[in-house]
Amino acid sequence: MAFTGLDDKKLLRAFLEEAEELLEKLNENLLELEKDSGNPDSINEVFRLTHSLKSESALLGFNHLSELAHRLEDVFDRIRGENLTLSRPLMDAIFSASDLIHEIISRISAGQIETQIDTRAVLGELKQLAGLELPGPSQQPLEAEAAVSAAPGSAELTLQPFHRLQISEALERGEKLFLLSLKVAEEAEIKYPRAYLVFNNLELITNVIQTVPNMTVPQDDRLYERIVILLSSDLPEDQILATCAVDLIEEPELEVLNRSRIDELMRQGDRVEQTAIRTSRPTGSARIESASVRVGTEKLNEIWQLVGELTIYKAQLTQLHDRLSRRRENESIKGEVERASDSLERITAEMQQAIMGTRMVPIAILFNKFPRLVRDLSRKLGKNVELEIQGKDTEIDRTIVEVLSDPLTHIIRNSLDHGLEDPEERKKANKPEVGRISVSAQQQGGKIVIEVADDGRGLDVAKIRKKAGIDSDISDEEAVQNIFSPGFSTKEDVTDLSGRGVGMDVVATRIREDLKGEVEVRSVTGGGTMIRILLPLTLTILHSLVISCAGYYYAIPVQDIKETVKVTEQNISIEGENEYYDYEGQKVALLRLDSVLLGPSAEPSSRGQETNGVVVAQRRGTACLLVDELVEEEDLVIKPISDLLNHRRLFSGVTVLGDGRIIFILDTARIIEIIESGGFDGV
Amino acid sequence: MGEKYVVFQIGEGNYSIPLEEVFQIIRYENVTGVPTAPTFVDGVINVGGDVIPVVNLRTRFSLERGEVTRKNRVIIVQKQEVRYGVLVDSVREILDLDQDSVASEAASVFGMKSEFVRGIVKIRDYLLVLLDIFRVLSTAPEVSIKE
Amino acid sequence: MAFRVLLADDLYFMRMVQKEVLESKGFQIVGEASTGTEAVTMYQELRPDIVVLDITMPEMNGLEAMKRIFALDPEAKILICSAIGQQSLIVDAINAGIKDFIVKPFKPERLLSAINKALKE
Repeated sequence: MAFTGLDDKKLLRAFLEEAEELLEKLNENLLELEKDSGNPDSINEVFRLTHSLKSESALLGFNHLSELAHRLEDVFDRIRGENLTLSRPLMDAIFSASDLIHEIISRISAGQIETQIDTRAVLGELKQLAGLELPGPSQQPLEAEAAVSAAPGSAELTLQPFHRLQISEALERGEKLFLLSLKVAEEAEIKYPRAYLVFNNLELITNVIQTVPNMTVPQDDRLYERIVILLSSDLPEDQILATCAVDLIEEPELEVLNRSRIDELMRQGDRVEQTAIRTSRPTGSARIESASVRVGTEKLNEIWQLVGELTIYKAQLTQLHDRLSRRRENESIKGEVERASDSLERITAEMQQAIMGTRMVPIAILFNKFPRLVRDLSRKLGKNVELEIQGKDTEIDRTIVEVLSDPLTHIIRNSLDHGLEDPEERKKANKPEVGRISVSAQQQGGKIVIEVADDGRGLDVAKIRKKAGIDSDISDEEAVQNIFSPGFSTKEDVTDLSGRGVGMDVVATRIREDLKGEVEVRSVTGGGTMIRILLPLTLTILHSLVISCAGYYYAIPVQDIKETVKVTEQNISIEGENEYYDYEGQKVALLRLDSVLLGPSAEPSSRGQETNGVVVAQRRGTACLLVDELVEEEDLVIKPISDLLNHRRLFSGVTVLGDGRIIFILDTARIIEIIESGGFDGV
Repeated sequence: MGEKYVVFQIGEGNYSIPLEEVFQIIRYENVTGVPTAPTFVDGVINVGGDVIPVVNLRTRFSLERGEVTRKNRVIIVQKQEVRYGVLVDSVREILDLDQDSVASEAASVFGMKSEFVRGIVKIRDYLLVLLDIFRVLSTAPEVSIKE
Repeated sequence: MAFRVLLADDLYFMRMVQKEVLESKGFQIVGEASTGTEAVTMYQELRPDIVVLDITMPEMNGLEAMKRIFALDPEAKILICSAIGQQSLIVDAINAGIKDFIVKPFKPERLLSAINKALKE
């Protein structure tokens, strides 16, 4: 379906709705069969469902999908004809196929092409298993394995590259790897905080590598009945198990992972496709870390689209109302339309807020565990450290939070371990006995800036230079960025490199690859170290002022605006080639936005009249931008902007309004920066 | 082993890109101008909430702007998470190409620099150029695609 | 020697029930606070072995009181009582260092087993 025209939309939507329903029922029945593989009702139902799916998808030309469904239908035909037994491997293959179907349907509903998914492997597997299976003693019927499959296993962990690096690091430090599994008692009314109690205890004394389900960003509470945690530690087993001595936590099992188990886990991480948690809910595709968030996000996007359409109808209703009010007769209808329009407006706004709210979370969700972490770890290390947190209300996208948790914790740990000195050393260096770590977050120029700074030893620049083999003509500031180079800290004796270096390369990889962000370090020998992380905003809401300029619309974040003013000839003064605006007794750089954005050839806005000016301020300075109209104030959802459109970097993002209009957001910091350095001369 | 390709026309030339690089193909409408962008960027369009720049390939290939007709299409290509829109005169067909019949061409074809050409194939009555579209899209605006 | 417990809840009835349950198992209730401020002051004076704290009290809510108590005594053992929908408050409290939490309405056995486990350390 490469040429999806608008005509097919309705048909497609109907198909997708039905397909979702079919899939849900399919999953329900498959889970039933897992417990009771001989259940005739389920077998027949699955046969029927796959048959329907096959026919419908074939009708719309989704041949891959149809083929897959057809193969499943065949398998179940043979099962119900008693020519085939449902063995464990076959059941697994069937689940894989079902997951794949789900994935294909998700992609289709996201507008992608069906053929992008490779179904050959799964089809082959099914064919092989279904073709060769004969009833016989060599099969292990599902019931016998029921007990085993009920227990959570390492099969549910998916190891991303960052986790693997952590594992190697831990092994090099001489720590052991453990797999801790536990259950939360059924009577526990809320499971997630129960599990969190254990997680918290663990984090304080061990290095938690991964948890299933995710602990930092809570998923559906029911998923927390069973928890699996991968961790590393040099502590004795009983101490680790002691963290589970929490009420309503049951069956804690600690498994020490030997070399072969570790290898198995690492290999397993490669086969991400097969690792889906089979709980009593139908699952989507298999990226577990955010499994339920992912499904949620798709639904949210759907709803978001609908809200977008609602905004259009609302706008139409307003127009209708306006037209009506011009005609005298329709007073009572006018009033009703107005009321309806107001309600619609209010509800749409509330819905938009609600949906935007579900994806954004305050970074406090991450920052909140640091005070305790710092307190406990510093006491363990015999150091006296105070933690300062700023900007914890800064909102970021949920999916960033999940990925950011590990690296941030790692950085803070490092600071405590290697950066900060013990009280003795600090006294000798004439520093206050209490060391300080500060963690801050803020939105700046279209990015999220997170800084972690300490007043400890700072990095040993000489050692870094030596280790990285850097020439002397490279400055210190540049030299220290090498701690982020891949493989920088692996082999060397960890204690040899004072300051930082342990694992920073791992952190940097995570931030650069998974979050598409940047990380940099600044250090003063003997004075301290500061690590700065810059993350692009994938989804953020900025309260903005929409302005028009030479027929185009732009937006300016309200947080950058000091005031909007009316500018006349009298307020403008000229010095050389620059114009200035008299703002509250001070001369502030005046910039005509039309010539900045459109080039000097643009028609200059008529002088001598009153023009609208927006006074913007940043740390670097203040400026007054001349625009045509002040259109409206709105909460805008900002998206990142393609480089192709932004080679002068004047924009910090782009947004789409409910009615489809596209508006660019001005990066006022950058604009002021250019003014300060004289970049807009003569323009 | 055949691979599917989308064949489109720019001026007199026939070009193609692998179907797997294509996300969607839509009509050329609702394009918002972006005055600050390079000249070959016609503007941006909103596709499912995503703001995608539309690159006018005729302009990029240093040809004169053509008339906008109902045959124009915007091919939305995708690499990893990033999408671009490419405006073409028309989309001709989707072909199954046998890799063996593709000749890699070192010299320039249709006046295009060789680094943008993955290969050429003779199809019935025309010569088809297999284009490295992402190379075209990521080349600096000042650099010409043609010799 | 009996363990000394400080109860903090704005509802008299709640405190009464907790007191009965705990006293019947040999715990000593050394104080009853009905606001967050009172809870902090009483903690300071009485230095109990453990505090059972409701997080929805008026005039300095439980969470604030909890933080102040921890500031006074980092080793303090605190058990909080919460309602079902307060998941993120509970997580905040766990991050701050509470030993356990109980969800209202709770069964006596839950209070006892939670308090016993918490005091074991």
